[in-house]
Amino acid sequence: MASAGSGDEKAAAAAMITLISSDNEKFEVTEATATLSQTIRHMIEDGCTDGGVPLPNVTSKILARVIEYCKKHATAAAGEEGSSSSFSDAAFLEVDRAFLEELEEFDDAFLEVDRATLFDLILAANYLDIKGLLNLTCQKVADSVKGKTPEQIREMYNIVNDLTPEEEAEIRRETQWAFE
Amino acid sequence: MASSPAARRIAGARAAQPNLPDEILEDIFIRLDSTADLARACAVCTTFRRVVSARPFLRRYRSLHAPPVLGGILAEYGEFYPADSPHRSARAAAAVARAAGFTFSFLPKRNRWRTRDVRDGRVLLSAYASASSLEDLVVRDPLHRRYVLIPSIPSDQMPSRRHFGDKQDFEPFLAPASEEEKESSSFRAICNMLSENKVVTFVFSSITGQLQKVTEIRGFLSIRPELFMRHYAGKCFYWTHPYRSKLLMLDMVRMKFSLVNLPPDPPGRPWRCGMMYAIVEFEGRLGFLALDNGMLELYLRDDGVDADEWRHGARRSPCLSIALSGSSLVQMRATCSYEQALPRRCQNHNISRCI
Repeated sequence: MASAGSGDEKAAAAAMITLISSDNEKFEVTEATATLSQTIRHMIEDGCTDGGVPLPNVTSKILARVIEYCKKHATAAAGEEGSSSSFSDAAFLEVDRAFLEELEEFDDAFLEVDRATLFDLILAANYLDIKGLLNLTCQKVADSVKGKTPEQIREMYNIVNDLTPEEEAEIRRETQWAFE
Repeated sequence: MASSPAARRIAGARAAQPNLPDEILEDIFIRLDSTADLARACAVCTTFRRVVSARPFLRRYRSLHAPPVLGGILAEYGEFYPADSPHRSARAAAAVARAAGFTFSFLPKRNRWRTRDVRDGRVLLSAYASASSLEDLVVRDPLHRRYVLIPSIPSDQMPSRRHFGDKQDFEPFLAPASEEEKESSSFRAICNMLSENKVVTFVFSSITGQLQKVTEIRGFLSIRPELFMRHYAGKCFYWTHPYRSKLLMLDMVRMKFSLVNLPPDPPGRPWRCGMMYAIVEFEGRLGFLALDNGMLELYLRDDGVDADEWRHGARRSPCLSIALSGSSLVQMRATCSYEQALPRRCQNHNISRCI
């Protein structure tokens, strides 16, 4: 890049944010990446990000994954903005389609995690208010219970049946059609 | 309920699984397209059941996922026709057909129950208890094997009766359920009494269990009352009659009658004689849809309250004219765009009175 003190570098330096996980690990990310989180966006707007943003609810393992997601999707957002002016409509649509496919592949691979990590990602996405990530992870859980019996769902997510036999019988009687 | 084994089991569950807050569980369950999946999730544990059966959640769920069509009830006989394979509801519909009470077995004994109306999964039936009395009315809920007997009209409120051959001077029907009624499983039934020159309306509410007179209109001569045809559009009921150039309108929100002129007749062919037509709601406006000379004509009424004017809205060649049998045309509602709405609605014409 250009010599020290140039305007570009200052802007770039100012746009970096430090995120601190619950186990005190520090992550440097660009503002564009960090602001995919509405929670962090509000903190930046309020000017309280100096010295890093502590995230006591998110471990370094999960935060690393969340940042990976945000980086990819922030690039996607920037790419769309950048390319729209420099391509003809047809070319732009073509690029757009290829890019969306790539993003979809990324999302699919991103979701290849164990159940505990998936739940941690949901909680982090909820806490950090990252809409796209919350949608993605909730959809993954919803898809996993489709067509499953209550027993299979309990086994899959390690849930103990705390319904009384009477309650369970009542639910099954009311919704008998769902169990045939 | 708060027995110690149950408490231990809950504690065990908490320790073993990451605890997702209710709002996130809602976000997950809202993504289940099939109500069968939702019902099975409900049977997993108490937390899931609490989240799934909460009213605000169900309201949100229903606004996103229209309830599946399970089949149709033939209005004339009250018979249930379950959705058949490969329809996605086929299994549930078969189970409903087995479990629900579509026969009259659980009703009070009468000579012959007659189906008068079908709506929102309920069937309104009438029967004579004795030759001299008005018909008894029951509203049957076959899915839940329940029925509600509607009390008879109080004698002091009973209009002087005009005796027509087939006793069609008594028209009971069901009001479409409002959002609140859908949630609370309550309903309203309406009884119109037609006498010499007035119509008197009584409304039964399943919440109060009372039948009360709500409104009347005078000077509306009821000749051949069996020829009245009832339509519903935009929170109003309408009645057309082949001998009348006006619509009788009952505003279900204000519970008031009024008369509305029909669009001008095409030259030499009055709308009212033998033509198929329907009163519809189209983009929030009152519409008159008619099959005339092989073409579908849509007339729209101008918005002004007093402006008694119809404007010709559109003309289309009806691609599915076979589907436009009388009752389907009545039930057809043009809610989205005119072009899109017709073919899709027509496909559904047989299940328009469905649960």
